[in-house]
Amino acid sequence: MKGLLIKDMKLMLGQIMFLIVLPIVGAMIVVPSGQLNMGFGYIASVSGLFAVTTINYDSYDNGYSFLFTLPVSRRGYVKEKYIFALMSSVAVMLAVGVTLWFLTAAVHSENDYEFVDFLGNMWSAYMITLTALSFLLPIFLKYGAEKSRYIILILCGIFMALSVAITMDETLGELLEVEIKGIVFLILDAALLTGSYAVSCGIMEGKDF
Amino acid sequence: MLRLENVRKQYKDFELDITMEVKPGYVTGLIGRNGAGKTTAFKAGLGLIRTEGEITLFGKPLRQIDARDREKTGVVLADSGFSGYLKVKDLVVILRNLYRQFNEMYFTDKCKEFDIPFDKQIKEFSTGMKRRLQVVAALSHNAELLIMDEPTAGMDVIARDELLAMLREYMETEGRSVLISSHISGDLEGICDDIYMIDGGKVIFHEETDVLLDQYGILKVTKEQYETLDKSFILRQREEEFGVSCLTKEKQFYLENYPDVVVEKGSVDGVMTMMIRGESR
Repeated sequence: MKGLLIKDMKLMLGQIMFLIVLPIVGAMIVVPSGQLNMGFGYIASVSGLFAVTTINYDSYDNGYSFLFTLPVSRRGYVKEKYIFALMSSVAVMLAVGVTLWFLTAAVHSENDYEFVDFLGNMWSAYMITLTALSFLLPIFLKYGAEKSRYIILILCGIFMALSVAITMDETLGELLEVEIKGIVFLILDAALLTGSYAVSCGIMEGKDF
Repeated sequence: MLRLENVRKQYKDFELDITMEVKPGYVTGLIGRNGAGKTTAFKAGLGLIRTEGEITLFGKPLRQIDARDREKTGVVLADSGFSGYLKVKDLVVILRNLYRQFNEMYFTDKCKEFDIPFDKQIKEFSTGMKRRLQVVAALSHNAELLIMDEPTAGMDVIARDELLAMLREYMETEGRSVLISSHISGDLEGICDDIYMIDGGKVIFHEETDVLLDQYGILKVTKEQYETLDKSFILRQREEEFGVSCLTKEKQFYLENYPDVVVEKGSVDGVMTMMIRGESR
């Protein structure tokens, strides 16, 4: 497990340029307007996608075959992927988020956006990231990087269609206007991730390499 | 060490159906044409593909093999390796944390000896260099069993000799075993204790290497000589322009009783060609 986590850490650090670009792009979105809220969707999506990129590196050039000859069980591999995804998404989210908060605060000193509020919103963004990861991880493990892109595009399309439907249908909109408390969101995500982990274990154990 | 018994794997246009064993203290060679099923057999033995039949590794059914047991194997695969996005200096830390018996000094010394760069992504390595790296990694953690699919592919003669010397050195410790495949039969003749030949997913020949080299031979006979030949010990025969080639396990019998017949010494290449292209009597 430790060896795998170090491997993923090394792979992640190998993308240092990408890590530097992330807050720069975020700053270009958020800093001119001073609206930090605009950045949370960006932060949630980049941290989630970044967490699953190591799966692409593992599967690159038929790499899984060799990987599973190392002292690594398939279930252990899945567990490591989930732990790494949770850890790396927090790290990326904090690194990008805090950078954006400081930049926005420096440029727009008139803003009275409290750091505590910012952290609260970051928490919500993280919960959304966890929800996304519980879908992304099994999809990437099952279909690999190439096919996963198309599946994610289809899912985005469905999500957008649902958003439009909710906007147009008042009853549906009201139904979803229930405020989900942070702790409830966390429990829901924990349940979702547990189910997702079980599905991912099944996927990896049923695969030929 | 490793035993595959009636192991079957069905693909759309290929079926593996194999029984073989790597005994403790043995270097076992696996040879066959491209597409014969060598890599599939390796993958079956490593549990990378789901199969029917019985596979045991270190005396345990393969499904009971855990990460600790995996530490006792060192593997080189023909079509897969370490992530190309890693560097060798990264591997040192990773291997240190994966294998309790990782010999870091051996690994770094051998990498230096083979001119393997530490600070370059593995995807930029040549095929031979990638293979050398895998071999060094496989040898660096005191494995009891090495499973090596084409470890000499892409290597020049000098590098191949060095690698084979490393394998001989590895085998000096009692109880270790190696399963190796190579398209260069000379590599196998020089190092293997026994050899399996597979074709079309099935074992078509298995013999101790010493027996193969000492007792097997290929008779080169004219059609007239063939008519008078005692064919009791002919395993395979094949029509040639000059007459008939015959594979026998009793080379000495023909040398003594048919002094006019040309008898070629048995070799892995010769036996494989006759086993695949020849007809049984």
